[in-house]
Amino acid sequence: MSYCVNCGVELEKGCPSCPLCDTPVINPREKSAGEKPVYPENLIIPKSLSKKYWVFILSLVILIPNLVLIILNAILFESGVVKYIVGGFIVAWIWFLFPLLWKKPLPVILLAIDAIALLTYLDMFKIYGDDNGWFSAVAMPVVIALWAICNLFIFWLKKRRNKSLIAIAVLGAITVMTVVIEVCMSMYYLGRLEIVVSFVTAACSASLMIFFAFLYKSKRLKAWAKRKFFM
Amino acid sequence: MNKSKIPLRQRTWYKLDNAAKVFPGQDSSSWSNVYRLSATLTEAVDPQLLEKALEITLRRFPTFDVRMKNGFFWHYLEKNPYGIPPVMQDIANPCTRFKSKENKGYLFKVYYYENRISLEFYHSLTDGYGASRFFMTLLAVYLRQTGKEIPSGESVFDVDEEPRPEEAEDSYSKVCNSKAKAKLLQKFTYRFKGERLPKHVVNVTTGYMPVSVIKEKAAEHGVTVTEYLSAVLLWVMYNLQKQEEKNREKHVGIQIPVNARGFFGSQTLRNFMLCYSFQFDPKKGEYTFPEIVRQLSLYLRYINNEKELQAMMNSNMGIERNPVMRIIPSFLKDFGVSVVYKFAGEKATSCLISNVGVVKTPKEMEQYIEKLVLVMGPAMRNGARCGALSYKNTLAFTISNIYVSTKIQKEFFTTLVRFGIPVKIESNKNSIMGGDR
Repeated sequence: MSYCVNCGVELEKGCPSCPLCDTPVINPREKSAGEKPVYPENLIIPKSLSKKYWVFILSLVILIPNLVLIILNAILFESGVVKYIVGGFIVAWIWFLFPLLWKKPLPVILLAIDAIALLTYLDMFKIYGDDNGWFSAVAMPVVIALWAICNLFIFWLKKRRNKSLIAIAVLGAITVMTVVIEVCMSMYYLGRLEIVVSFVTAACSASLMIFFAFLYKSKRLKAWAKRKFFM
Repeated sequence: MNKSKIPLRQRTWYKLDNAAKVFPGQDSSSWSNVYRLSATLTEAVDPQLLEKALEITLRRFPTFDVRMKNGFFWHYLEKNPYGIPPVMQDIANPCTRFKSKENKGYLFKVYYYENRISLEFYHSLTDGYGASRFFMTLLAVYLRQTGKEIPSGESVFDVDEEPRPEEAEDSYSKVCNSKAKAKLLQKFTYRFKGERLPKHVVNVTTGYMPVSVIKEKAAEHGVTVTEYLSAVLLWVMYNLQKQEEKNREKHVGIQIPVNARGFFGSQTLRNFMLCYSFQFDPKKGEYTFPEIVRQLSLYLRYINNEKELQAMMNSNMGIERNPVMRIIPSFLKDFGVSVVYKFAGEKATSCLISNVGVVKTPKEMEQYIEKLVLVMGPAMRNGARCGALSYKNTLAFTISNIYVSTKIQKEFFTTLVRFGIPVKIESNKNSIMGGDR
């Protein structure tokens, strides 16, 4: 019999290392060769329903009412709204179910697909609705800006994972998005640059970002914040 | 005709008992409430004889010869038409989840490996008492098949006698009559955290120790073996929390299932147990091991009586008998149970210890059984679900841990060694990690 020199417990015959602390077992008087392990080595992982199965089921759940809607619309209603509803479902499918078909989805590619799907959907409103320039002036720049910021955020996340800095990055992204939206809107509706809301957002975000930056740097401030804001 | 008057072998279905109703709702794609009983024999197991023994034993235990079906309002157990469950080669990762469409629908799995026979039970079927009776009878019948003379008696049932109606009774419904209800709410407790093992994999570590030494050590503190082992586990959890440098220390708690048969004279082979929960608050100050032992034992002695158990049962049965609850379809009930269990079920306890106590067999049988082990299935979140069983003069204490780190097992068993209890360790760690031998 062998004992673990670290834990003091007796070990089963032929055990190569202590199961508690991984200390190797060296006992010249005990030959481990040929000893059967206590548990067999066949690890059997039970089968479970795959993600693809769920995607299939949910896709059917989405598909059936949409098909019914299209047929009823062709026969009875002849309404123009149906294409927007169906288009919305297609975008939702691309956003939420399509990623589940991938084993390890690449966020950058997924984001590009999502942005294209959204732009195509919005473009449908331009094609079938009134085209008074809103798509190229507001929708497209806002979606592209959002796509770019998300990409930057993903790139940044891969590099750093500090919680305080994540807060700063999120605030920065919100500020940039607010500015982009307001610039596009004011240029489209007023024909001139007028920044009010995004100025307020930027001021609030900036003060919070400065606070978080200090929090990140100062151990004393961090300790104070922990004391004050614990939940 | 009254259902209880129908001979057990002719009954085609059973309602689930109060405890069993909860488990289907707790199931997930990778987790079920399962436990395993293993016996290491002196000779290699013959799977064909084991199949034959299983067939004979199942006839004596009709409540085990069932599969689970979905009713509109509740699940129920139905007589299984498939004869016997498959006898399978053992696997490295015990206590994997149950699915009603697998294992021919049976709610227990049968494994063999070298000299060892293992049975895994889904908790809706029975508790540790019922499982141990079925298992020991199966072992006796198997040994008889190999030519050994094994009489019936102790935990070995006579397979030639008719199953008794009281073995299939729902003792919860029978016993529950008082209006007093126990409070079920508990504080959220400390839980060990770390990198998890892959899904369906659990690290099982069994420590064998002499019952006489454990009893001696427990007697030094004036407590029972279960109280002593529970206190050691609590002590380990308390120290682990301290090491983790938390800002705020949470309560440390333990759940101890108790067999209610002794209190109410029940002979059922279905579930009839309740869980005691003990917690202490480390914020009140530093605790020493003797303090934890004393507090735990005083608490258990205060609560361990018929009236408290009945009050706990009334609370559980109250939920089941609530008219609103009864008319909710079973899939919605399952969904509700699953949400509650996932978010709060294991948060009120840091660990669990189930001690089925001393399993006695006829003297003639003892020479053919080397070891008996109870393995509790893994928890969803907690790192320590422990099963204890005493056979002959050996207590087998098994910790099932879902985390890669073996800190809990190491601290627990080395604490026992420091306290002067010799421990022999066995584990599936090398098998699940692919270690070389």
